[in-house]
Amino acid sequence: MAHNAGEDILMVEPALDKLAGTAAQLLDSPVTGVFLLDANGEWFELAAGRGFQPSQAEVRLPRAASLAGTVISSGQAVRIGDLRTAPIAALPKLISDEATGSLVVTPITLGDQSLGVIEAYSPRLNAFTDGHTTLLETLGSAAATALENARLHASERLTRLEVERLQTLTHQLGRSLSADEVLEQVAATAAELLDSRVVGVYLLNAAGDWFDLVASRGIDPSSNAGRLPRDGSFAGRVISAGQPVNIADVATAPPTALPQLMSGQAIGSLVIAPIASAQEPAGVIEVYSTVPHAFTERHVGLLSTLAAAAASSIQNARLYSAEQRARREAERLQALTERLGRSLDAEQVLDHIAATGAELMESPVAGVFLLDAAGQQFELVAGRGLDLGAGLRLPRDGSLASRVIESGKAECVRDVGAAEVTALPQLVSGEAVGSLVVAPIISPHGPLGVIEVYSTATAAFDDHDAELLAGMGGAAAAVLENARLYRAREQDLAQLRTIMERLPVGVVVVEAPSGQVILRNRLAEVLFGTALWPEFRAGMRDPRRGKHGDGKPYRVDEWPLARALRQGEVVSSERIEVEREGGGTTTLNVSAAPIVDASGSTVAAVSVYDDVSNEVALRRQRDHFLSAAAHDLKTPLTSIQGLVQLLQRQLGHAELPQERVASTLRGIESSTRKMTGLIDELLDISRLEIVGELSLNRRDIDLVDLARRIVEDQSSHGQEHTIQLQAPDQPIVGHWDEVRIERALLNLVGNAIKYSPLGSHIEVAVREQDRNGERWAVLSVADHGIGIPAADVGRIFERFTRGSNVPESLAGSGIGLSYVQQIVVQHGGSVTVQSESGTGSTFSLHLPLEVR
Amino acid sequence: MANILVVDDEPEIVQFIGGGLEDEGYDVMTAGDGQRAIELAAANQPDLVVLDMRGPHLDGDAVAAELRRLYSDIPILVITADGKAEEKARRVRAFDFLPKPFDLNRLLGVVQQKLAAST
Repeated sequence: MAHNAGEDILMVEPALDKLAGTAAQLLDSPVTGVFLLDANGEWFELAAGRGFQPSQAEVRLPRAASLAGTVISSGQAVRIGDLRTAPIAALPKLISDEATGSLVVTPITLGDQSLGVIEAYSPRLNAFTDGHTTLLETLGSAAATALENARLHASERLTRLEVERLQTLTHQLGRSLSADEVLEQVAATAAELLDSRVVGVYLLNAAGDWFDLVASRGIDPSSNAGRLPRDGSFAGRVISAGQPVNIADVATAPPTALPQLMSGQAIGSLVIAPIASAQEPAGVIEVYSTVPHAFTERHVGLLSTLAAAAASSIQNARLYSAEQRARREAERLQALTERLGRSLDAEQVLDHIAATGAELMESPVAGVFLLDAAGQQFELVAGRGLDLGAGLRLPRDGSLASRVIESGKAECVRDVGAAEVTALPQLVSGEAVGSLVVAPIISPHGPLGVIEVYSTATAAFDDHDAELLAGMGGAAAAVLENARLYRAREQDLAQLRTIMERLPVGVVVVEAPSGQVILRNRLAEVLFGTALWPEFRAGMRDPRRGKHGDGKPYRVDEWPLARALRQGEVVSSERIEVEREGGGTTTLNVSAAPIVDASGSTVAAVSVYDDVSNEVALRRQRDHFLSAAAHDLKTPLTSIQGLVQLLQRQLGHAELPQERVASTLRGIESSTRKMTGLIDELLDISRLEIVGELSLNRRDIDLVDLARRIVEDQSSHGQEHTIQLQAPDQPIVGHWDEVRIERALLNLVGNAIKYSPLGSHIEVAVREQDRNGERWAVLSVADHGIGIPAADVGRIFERFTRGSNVPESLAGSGIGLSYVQQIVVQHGGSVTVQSESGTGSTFSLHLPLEVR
Repeated sequence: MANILVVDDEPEIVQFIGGGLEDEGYDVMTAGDGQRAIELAAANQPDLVVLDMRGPHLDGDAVAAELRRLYSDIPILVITADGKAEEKARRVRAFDFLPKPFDLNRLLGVVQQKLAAST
């Protein structure tokens, strides 16, 4: 390979100099030289050495008749012990003058490329051994490597420089939005990269027969009237071939049109690259030099790259201006649409598109045709100068509209007569259509229709009009798509609202980062109150004060929604006590989650509020019931244990009267009975809870007798109350479960005693009642106690419910009346209550006398 | 012999505590409600009161307060079935408390010890 670039040599010089020094040292040689082949491969030029005089710096050896040439050709090192005996010509002057001593020469080769030689000379005879030869061979390899490295380095450096320039250009082109600017940049960069002061950028004119000079360096713009013919110019041939050319010597090339240089000099060589976009040739770039052979293949490649960048930039700039125009149209349409009351009504929008199209094309007739649902026909939906009521249609097959839809490109028909356009609409004016322009309306989901503008004259429109209408078609598609999306969004929202309203939980959606409420359902409003929404909107302030389980209030940023919004946290079922508007608290199970978009940033947050107050209350009541039941069971247990211990002590006293022992035993029996009753009652409650019904042990019992026994029994115990019985003389016999009816009655009498003052009267009444021919027994218990507040009467038979006026000191599970009611219901009867707070209560059991 | 007032709404409890104390030779007054207890205590000062804290017509705190009004240093032994026996005992300044169910012998021991200490 030829190392002609001085720069390369300079780069590598220190390495070669070092090699020459090393050779001198290792071979103990006073004169060493590194010779490299010149560009033409004819001469070895001294690149580095030792022992040469400065005047000998330009020492060179001919390849043809030198030992170096032989060595290069054979690729083998040569050692000469006595130069006098060797017929070697062309030794360096120093050596040939002496003509004595010894010499060793080794080639510098890289692969099959010969680069040069290293020579070492000694005035002594046979100064070098085989070992010295090997050493020098090694140095030759080192030199080859150094040269190759330097070459690669230099070439890479150059490429990097070029890449940087190209990148800069691309960057600049990317920002340039006008074609003129783009072309200026291209010309400047071409001049710089190809190291030329003369550059011309030519673009084909509209007719395609001339190249117009549109940007240049060093060219007299008035030469050739600033243009080159397509025929008979290099540019024309390059455009046709689509390949760049390097015209190394203009003098030997066929005569052609060349521009006049500013410098007045003649052009010696030039390189031309075509500027061609995917669709069509646009022009050429030409770079000139006043000397022949100024450009290499690399320059041609660079210019091609530049031309490609130029082509795409020009394309971009054109698209940009088209888009800008389209945007202006869209803005105009948008403005018109908004002026009509922000209507997203597609028909209105289309009407304005038609109107604007007609206006911009300066034509009185324009129509917007949309494909029908089946995609078979285009229907006229809006227009100017067309009979909208006529149900005008264009066929899908064979129409210009159809072709435009399929190609996606607007078309201009300059002469309808010549173009054999079919399916033209009838103008309101009755005149015939002379020319028209058609643009497709294509949404991302497919073709929607076309917009057509007509003129009665021929050639009323040009390609510019087609381009303009294409922009409008794009705008129309966008507006129609918007309208569609808007409708779809409205539908989605309506569905979402319906779903949200039907959810049994409160839902609130706020947007990020403001925290403004964008969606909420009615339950959320119920939970938080509409009056407090503005506050909620204002920035995540709590609509209600919330508390943790331990009573500590929730900080503003502690609410799940705030955490989801701010920290992206997903909060699952957090229990929050919220103050109720009318007092009291609501227990909410609150969950929240951020809503993130595709890029992972939070766009909104949703929170769900589940009112679990009832469950919480139920659980609290259950706990209360369990502790009350345990208390109730402990009482007879305490009695039994105590009485048994008393009995043991009494049995130790031999002299104790029998009667005392008997009394203790009766006490044990009584307590045991109470305990059994309690356990049976609990078992019944549990059975009712699980199975829903009791298996009644029915037999004929006399309710009068039952009531009498209970009244007498209770009177003997609670002497502080007066219990009276009102009952007929004859029995009232029903088919009932005696134990359960007794337990129900005991419950009622027990309650009467419990909730009325000592010494007051309690009336128990039993009677028979005829109800629509059916016989019923009614058993009522009336007291003159604290009564039941009106607000609680309705719920008094619910489980775990006790009157709000019951003092805390009165133990109770809240299950008694519920149990009474269930027993009676199991018998096919009912319980009623009449009560007044502070006056007393009357509970009545209604039991059917015949089993139904 | 010392006079002891036993107050509990449950007749059988009153029966075994009263019986045990009587067998030990104490004079015993019994009441099943608060009103009766105050009446008895007012008529005849007890040396010690065994007091149940809760019942249909029995508010232990109210009875204790009235007893203290009558006889400020009267020793009260609290018996109760609910979990807060100790707290309740402290509230009425009882000298001791026994959670139900309790050992009769223990109660007799506590009473005897208290009376022995105060005489």
